[in-house]
Amino acid sequence: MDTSLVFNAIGTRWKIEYASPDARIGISSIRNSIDNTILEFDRSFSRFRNDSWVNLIRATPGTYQLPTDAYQLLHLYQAAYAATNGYVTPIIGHVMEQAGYDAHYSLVSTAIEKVPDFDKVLSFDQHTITTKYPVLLDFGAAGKGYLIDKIGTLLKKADVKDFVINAGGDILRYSRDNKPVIIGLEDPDDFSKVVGTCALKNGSLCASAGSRRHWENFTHIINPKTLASPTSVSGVWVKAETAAVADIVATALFFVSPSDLRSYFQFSYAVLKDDRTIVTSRNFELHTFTEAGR
Amino acid sequence: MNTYQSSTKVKTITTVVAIAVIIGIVILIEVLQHNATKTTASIPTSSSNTTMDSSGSTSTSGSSDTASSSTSTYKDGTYTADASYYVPHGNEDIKVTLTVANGVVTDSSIINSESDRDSERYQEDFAAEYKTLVVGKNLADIKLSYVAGASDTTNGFNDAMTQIRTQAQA
Repeated sequence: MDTSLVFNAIGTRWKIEYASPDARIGISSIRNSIDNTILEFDRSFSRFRNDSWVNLIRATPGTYQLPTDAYQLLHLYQAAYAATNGYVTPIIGHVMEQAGYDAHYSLVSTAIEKVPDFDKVLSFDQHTITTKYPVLLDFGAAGKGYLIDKIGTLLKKADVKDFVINAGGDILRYSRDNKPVIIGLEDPDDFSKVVGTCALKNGSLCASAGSRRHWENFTHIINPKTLASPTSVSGVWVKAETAAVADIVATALFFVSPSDLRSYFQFSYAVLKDDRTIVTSRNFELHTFTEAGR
Repeated sequence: MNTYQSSTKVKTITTVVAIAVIIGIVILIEVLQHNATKTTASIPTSSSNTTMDSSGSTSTSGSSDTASSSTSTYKDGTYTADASYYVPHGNEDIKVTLTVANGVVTDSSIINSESDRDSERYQEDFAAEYKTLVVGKNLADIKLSYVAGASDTTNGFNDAMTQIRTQAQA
């Protein structure tokens, strides 16, 4: 892979490495497409800009046209909501703000209102959404993964035969020759260490942990039923065909067990508990270290 | 873009109920077992019960923490449990049987009233789960191109966290 792009977007650091395409599409054209894709996505779904679609529709219940990708995201969240019995929900924007993770990063919590049921608050179809109450949608659990997939599709269309997209530790790998990359699982308790490694040939590995975004008793992962951040799970890594699924399942596994999700999503997993044990499915192919071999 | 197989949800319920019943029996056995130094009771599959992964640590199947042993031993014998549950097309019955000899599960079977290929696969996937204590390895001692963890924060967030800490100390 001879080209790499490094930049900040959607609140994290991105590194995209890819093999220059054989086709005539120039590198700068790929970069422009990537920039435009991210910009459009950010404009629709970011809580951190007040001109975003999610902010424009939040105050007034009604029927609104859906921007690009909103239907796919809502459909994905609807499945995750059903699979987790409500633990993964997009109707959590107000909780994030009230906990302190607002557009200004105040990181000070105020009183947090309950999270309403999905069906009570909104309905949607391919083109529109109807909200019955004011609602601030937050797509943090899957938005990054979904955006990573979009960029991956763009690169494949440009005839790139090998790439790694790494957006703050959520990774999408494509290799026409099925060549694996080895990825370390960052120790949430010590960023200079990894608790294991795994290989990835084609597909996504997404990680979720509260280790970098925490304040008071909160991390950016908040249980919508208790309005507190989970403590018994320290970190989650999920492999799936797409980053959107890996991303949303990684969040879900803070709240439910893998078997709850199996009929909705295909994935493999590694879940690190706060007692330093890790539970992983065989098909994740996790390699861990022994005391002697450290 | 993504496919969700909600139609197989029903079949998975069979598996999950079967496994819940087995876990119930297994946990009961382990709670009452006197000198279990190695967990050998495991969720039955068509393959072997205990497996070792390549790094040499012992794997156990099942995600629930095993309870600590108590002083009484569990009698050898065969234990069965029946479960029946409703699915949209009718009722499914499962019968779970475990045989214990010398405090170890030596045989097991699950009988479905409706044999189902899908649920067998999910059963095998679910059963093949390992639990191990992690040991951190220094990044400096290992060659890795990529690290997967919580998303890196940008300056905006970092500054906010610093300010909050400063205020907290004031």
